[in-house]
Amino acid sequence: MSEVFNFNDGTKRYEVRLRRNEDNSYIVVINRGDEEEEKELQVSAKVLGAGQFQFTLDNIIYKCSVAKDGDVRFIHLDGEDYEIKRISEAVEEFGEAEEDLGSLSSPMPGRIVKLLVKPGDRVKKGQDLVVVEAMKMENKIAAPFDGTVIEVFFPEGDQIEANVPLIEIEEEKDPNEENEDESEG
Amino acid sequence: MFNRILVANRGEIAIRVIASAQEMGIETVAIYSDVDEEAVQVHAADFAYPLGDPLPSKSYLNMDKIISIALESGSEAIHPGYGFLSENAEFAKKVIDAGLIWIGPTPEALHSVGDKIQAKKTMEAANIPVIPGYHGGSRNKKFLLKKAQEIGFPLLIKATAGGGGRGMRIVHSKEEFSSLYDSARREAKAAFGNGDVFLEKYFEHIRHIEFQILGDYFGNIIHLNERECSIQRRHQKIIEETPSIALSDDLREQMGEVAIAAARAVNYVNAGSVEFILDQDNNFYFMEINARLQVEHAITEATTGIDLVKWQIKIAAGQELGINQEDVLGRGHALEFRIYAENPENQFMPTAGKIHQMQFPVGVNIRNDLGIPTSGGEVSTFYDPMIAKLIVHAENREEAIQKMRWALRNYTAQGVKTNIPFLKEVLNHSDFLSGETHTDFVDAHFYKWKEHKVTPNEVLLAAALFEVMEPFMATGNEISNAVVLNGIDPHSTVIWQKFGTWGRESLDVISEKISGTLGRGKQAIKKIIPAKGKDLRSSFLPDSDPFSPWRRLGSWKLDKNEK
Repeated sequence: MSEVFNFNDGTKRYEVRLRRNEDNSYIVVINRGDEEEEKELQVSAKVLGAGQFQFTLDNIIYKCSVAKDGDVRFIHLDGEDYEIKRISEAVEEFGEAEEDLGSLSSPMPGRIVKLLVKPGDRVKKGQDLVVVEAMKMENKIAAPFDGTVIEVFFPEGDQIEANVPLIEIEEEKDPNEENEDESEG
Repeated sequence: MFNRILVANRGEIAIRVIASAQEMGIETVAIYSDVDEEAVQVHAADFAYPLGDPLPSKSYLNMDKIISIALESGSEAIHPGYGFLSENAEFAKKVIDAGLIWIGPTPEALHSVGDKIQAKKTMEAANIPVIPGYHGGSRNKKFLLKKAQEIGFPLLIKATAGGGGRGMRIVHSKEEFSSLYDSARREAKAAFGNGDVFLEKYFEHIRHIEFQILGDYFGNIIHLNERECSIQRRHQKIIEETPSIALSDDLREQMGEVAIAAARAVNYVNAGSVEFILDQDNNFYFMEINARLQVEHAITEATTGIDLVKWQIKIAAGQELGINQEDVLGRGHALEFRIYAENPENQFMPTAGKIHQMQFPVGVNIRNDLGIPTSGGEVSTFYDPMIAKLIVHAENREEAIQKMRWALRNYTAQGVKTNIPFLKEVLNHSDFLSGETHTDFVDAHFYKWKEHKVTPNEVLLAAALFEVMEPFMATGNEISNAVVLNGIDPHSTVIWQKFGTWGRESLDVISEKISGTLGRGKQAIKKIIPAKGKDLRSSFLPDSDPFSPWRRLGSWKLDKNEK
């Protein structure tokens, strides 16, 4: 009975199948997606401590340190750090939710120092909307497109988390673009 | 010597100061805000007192609260570390007015160098070369724009009260001036409570060279050679080295003399750094005096063998500097790489979160100054995202680079994005290897840098093995995840040595009940190895050493408790 694990390193998806032998060694098959041949490896492994283990592959002993944060795995192996995501079958069916371009999120946790717009304001692409301060640094969030400010979610001075929407903007459709769409239709 | 001092800081520098003080037999008092209950200084110090609200202005910048804790805890002196209140003349004065000793430059010296405009004028008067600029203190934007055009672009807008790159902007053209001026003022106001700025010519291809200074109350001032801190991002240093590859012995001597003259011009006492910019024709200009212990002080300690924090304490205690300029010898080459929780692929934007586990290298001439607990440490958004400093020392630059490369391979802080992959690439860059290091290094060579790394099969294999083995791994907070990588044989099967949380548990720990004002999260604060009996005034050896050069001073004259 083998177990199947899927991972994503931010560029692509990998499948790893693992079968445990009676002597605590494993037969591992790695599918890197784009390669035709699957790799079959024989390894033995041993737990060293919390998040620490070693495995032997082709007579080389690797020491490995892994930390887990939700789906993310932080792996330190052979002098390098890697960050990969474990993906469960269920999630992968639906794919990632489409990004909501209209609401602008904070890039990092911090404090709102200054709001430069209010609801109803028309903004130009690239115009600064809000100044967020975190770790003694000021960061400006700029409008990604021309549009109208629908809502501002926090007052000045509020402490905010990362990736929470700060401002919602309705995109102003370029009339030329719409015409083109129509003519194509 | 002092019996007990308060360290008015947090993280890495707090425990750095605590270590030297404890070595000298001085008890230490730490302070911590609500989010810092488990911070390293709480565990390292002999006593810890809460500050409450984590906002810097209400905690580590809260002068009156810190002074009242110092008095309540029976501390005799305050060491401010770097950042926070370290260069605040008002705080230094308040400390002294409260009857405590300030471990740092005098309030007068802090005032003279803290007002950067005044400092430049003082230096000009002392015949020290300064950067051309406008330091008049006007807030009239039109007038400033006119001055800016006179100086020429590129131009630097800098906070009068500033430091660490905050409130600083580079202006490349007349059109950019107005908006950058406003934002510099705003940032300076937020960071230092003073929005005033000055203008200076901006040099694009220069080195940042600073000289470490030590001065005592007897008028002795020496320098401890230079540090080159050219490699910066967001105007903050990330890599420092000593000696600088750009300085010949003659230039070092010349700049060192100017550095001492600059310190003398403001009657400088205690540790500080005189910063210069050095252009390609070996012209150097005075930039400013950093009136504090610098983040990068450790590389100077490595090459000179002098403990700067101990000297800060000794000088503050009224001892005479026992080192002559001729005694200062720089040996070998030292590098410091700062490990930050930040994303180098996204303009070095700070990242925050939990560091699940950390591994750091241990070996000959490798020093780790850690700022967070090695397992489960939080990088908070309230404070600086520096996790640790990695310092190596070797016989020459080439070997120091090799050692740093090895050390970084054995370094990991898992849980947040760090600059470690970026630092590794810097170590492989030909310009870094050849010493072509200038302040535009990162922008010139690493603009929009992305890490290109293919995930090898071994990593995928490890990830899968982790999933099946995780249930068999020891969990729970009682087991520390801090591991020291075995430096001798990378494939040794010996189980990695485990460290306890900050190593204190292994010592002879005496628990003692402390007053109810102490840490809410801490039922009992540990008191570590009694440094001395109550009847003993001092355990500081040089005081009782018949051959000590400062013995002739007699008993410590500033000791207010001495009857």
